[in-house]
Amino acid sequence: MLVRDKDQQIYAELVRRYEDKLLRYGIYLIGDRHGAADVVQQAFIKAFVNLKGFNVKRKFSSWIYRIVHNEAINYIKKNKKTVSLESKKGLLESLSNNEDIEADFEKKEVQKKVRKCLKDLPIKYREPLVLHFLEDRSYEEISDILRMPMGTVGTRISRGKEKIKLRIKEQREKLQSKI
Amino acid sequence: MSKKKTKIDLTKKVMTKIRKKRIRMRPKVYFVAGSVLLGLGMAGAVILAILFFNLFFFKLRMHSPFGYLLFGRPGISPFLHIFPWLPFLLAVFGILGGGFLLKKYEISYKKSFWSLVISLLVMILVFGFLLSQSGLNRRAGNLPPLRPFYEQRFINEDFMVGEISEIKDGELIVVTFEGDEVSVLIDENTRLPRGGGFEAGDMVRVVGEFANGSFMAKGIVKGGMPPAPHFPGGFEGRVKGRKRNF
Repeated sequence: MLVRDKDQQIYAELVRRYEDKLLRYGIYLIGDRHGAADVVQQAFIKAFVNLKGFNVKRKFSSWIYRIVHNEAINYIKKNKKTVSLESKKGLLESLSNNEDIEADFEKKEVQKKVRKCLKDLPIKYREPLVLHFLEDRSYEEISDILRMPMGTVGTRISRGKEKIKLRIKEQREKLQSKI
Repeated sequence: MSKKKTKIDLTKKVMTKIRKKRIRMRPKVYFVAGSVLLGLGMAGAVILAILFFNLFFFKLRMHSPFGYLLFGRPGISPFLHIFPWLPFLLAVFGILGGGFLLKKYEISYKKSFWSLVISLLVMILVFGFLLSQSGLNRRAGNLPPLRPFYEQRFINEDFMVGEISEIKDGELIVVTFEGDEVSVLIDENTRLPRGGGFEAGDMVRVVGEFANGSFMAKGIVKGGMPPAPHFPGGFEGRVKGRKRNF
């Protein structure tokens, strides 16, 4: 509300507050830093234009994340890019450490594995996983950002985790067969 | 090169663009108008669907298109002709429109979307049905702008509806709603799905084909239209069709 009634300086402060998080989110979705920067920049401009339409009873973060999500989807469709997030180097290092996939599936370990395997995940699983494990968003916030029921958020996170587990297992078996 | 130099300064880029291109915020009234239009659109779609389902149920009851299917294959074309396609399609269009607009609301993802759609559909069907049982359609059918929705052709190349004025041997003289007297010829192949026992004054539905000035009946059944007082606007002036010279 304050921002709407004040000038652009205050909006600049808002942008400063969210730019790193949104840029990181954009990179996870698109895989390209400069593409993500364009997407986030466009999202901030759209948010500025539509600021008076924002319902102050809702969370601003969910709203701005939603705009970034929409812009990222448009960018992906336009460029028909598949994510090329990380190199496989980290994955192989992780696999060679003899980790027990089942036992250490706690949040920090999931974060490490999610980053490494995200590139192969379809976006419908990638997004909720990124938002929950890497951006620390609650199911309710993810529901608002992606405009889907909380049950669906839970299901997609669960399935995304299973797919990552499966992928790690496959990669491990491949690596072990080479050894 | 330091990390700071490679960092993308989004704040600077965004604010520069806003200033340079003189980007302005949309006024509050824009969003208020949007909400109002969305609400009106949603209400309009639902009301449209209810009204057209009302008309659909009314016409189904009055014209009984399914009765033609008793004749088997000869009854298919009359059925397709009489079935109230237009109100049905307009009602479905209203439902689809309502469903599309429903997605714009937060509740569409907070609750199960399909449960909401099904609830909406049930509500529309129930209200449409109840409205069709009321006297609304009788009054509406008399209003000039709405008359086209209530008019119906009851004569075509392969079927006709009318009242028996005379019974002869192997022949019925049927008076159509346009006032034409049609000679309906019956033979051993004529299907009587509900039996014979026709009397002068009976309303009948006949399927077949016109030939040599008479109508060769492939099937006849009593019924097809309610008595004139129950038909919106009465017997006359409500029938579209061609005058036939026999």
